[in-house]
Amino acid sequence: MPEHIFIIHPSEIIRNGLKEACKDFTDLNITVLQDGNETLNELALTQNIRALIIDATLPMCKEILNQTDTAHSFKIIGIYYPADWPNRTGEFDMEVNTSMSIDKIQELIGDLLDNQPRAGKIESIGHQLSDREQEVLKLLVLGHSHKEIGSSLNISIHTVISHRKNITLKLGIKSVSGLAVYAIISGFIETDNINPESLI
Amino acid sequence: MNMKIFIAEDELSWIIQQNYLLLPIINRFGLSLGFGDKKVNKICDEKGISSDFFLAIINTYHNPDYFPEEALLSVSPLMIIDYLQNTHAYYLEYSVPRIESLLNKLLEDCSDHCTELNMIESFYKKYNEEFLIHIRNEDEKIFPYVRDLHQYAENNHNNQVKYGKYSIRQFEKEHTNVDEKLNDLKNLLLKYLKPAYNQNLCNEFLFALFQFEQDLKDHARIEDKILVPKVLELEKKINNA
Repeated sequence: MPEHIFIIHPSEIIRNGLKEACKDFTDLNITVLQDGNETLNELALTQNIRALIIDATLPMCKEILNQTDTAHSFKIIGIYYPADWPNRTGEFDMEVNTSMSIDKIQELIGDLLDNQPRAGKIESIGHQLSDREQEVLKLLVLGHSHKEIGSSLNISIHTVISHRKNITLKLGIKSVSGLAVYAIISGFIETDNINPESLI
Repeated sequence: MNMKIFIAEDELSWIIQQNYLLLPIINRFGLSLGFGDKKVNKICDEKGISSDFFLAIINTYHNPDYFPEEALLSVSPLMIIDYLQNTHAYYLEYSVPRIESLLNKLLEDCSDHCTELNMIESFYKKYNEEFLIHIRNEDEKIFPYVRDLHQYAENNHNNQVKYGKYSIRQFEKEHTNVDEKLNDLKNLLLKYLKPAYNQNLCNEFLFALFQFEQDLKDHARIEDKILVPKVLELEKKINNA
């Protein structure tokens, strides 16, 4: 089964630059992706990940790090801009920054992958809903529109829709009535004062 | 599972031994048990069925990677509609009542803490309501429309008097919502039902849902990929008449 390197960065120049740099020292499949739900989905469906090279400032990066335990068998490499360059954070298996020379980046990533015996899989991208997603879920199944949810939580409609997509991706449930069943049986909705069946 | 493509020279009893889930599919062609050693071409001749159409349907169902679009596109739309309508009758007379009876068994078996199952039942009822509306719409509106269209095309008539500007295109997207809910139902059971219920009954219920889903996917594939393009062709022919 082929092994994969994923490069995830909002900047096309950086994505493709890193791809070219990696091509010089590896024959693995290299996929470049922007951040977004489709990316999370593709990662969750890929069995043999050897390395994930990702913009360290992306929200999804934090999520992946949270969901991936320290024993993961693939490497996660954080990309920083020089202004954000940290002292070693310990969150990643390695950090690189965009002002490094290609040779330096190739050397660092090449060495890291040489020392890595096997590829693995992201086991559990988001089986748990974040606090914000739980709030959106509750309002959604109580019958509020995206606009109302946005006003109530002080976030844009776009963000509400993005949370909604993530909720579906994590739970495997798409319809509002299906989400209502999930919310009730998981105890997110108090059913003392409402007839739960009216939500379905 | 053996992914062989069945051919006209295969014995029907042998085909069923390879995949017994094809039994309800062949029933839709008016074929019942007691095939003897008869081959597909002989049985189809006797029943006046196109063996090409019969094979295209059972192979499509048997092998998810097989979809003989070209072979199916040459079949008369009336033959496709007969098959689809028999499939609907099978859903209404067998699949849906079976799923309901398995769900009822589960509910009867549950003595207390049945909240989850009650929620699942409410969700199923909602799904079934939408499913029945969808089936009824096809049986009462879409299929008669296609039959009329076929007749107009044969006689070079224009259909605008009866149907105005209606087109089969409006029907294309309707499957999605219904499929979505069935998938949600399966995931609710698989991922979130607490293990407090009779496992064997839960399994039977899930088996029935999986089988139903596979049948529906195939059914939708034939409607969307074969029936709709054929009808669009007819509409074009009539509008140009």
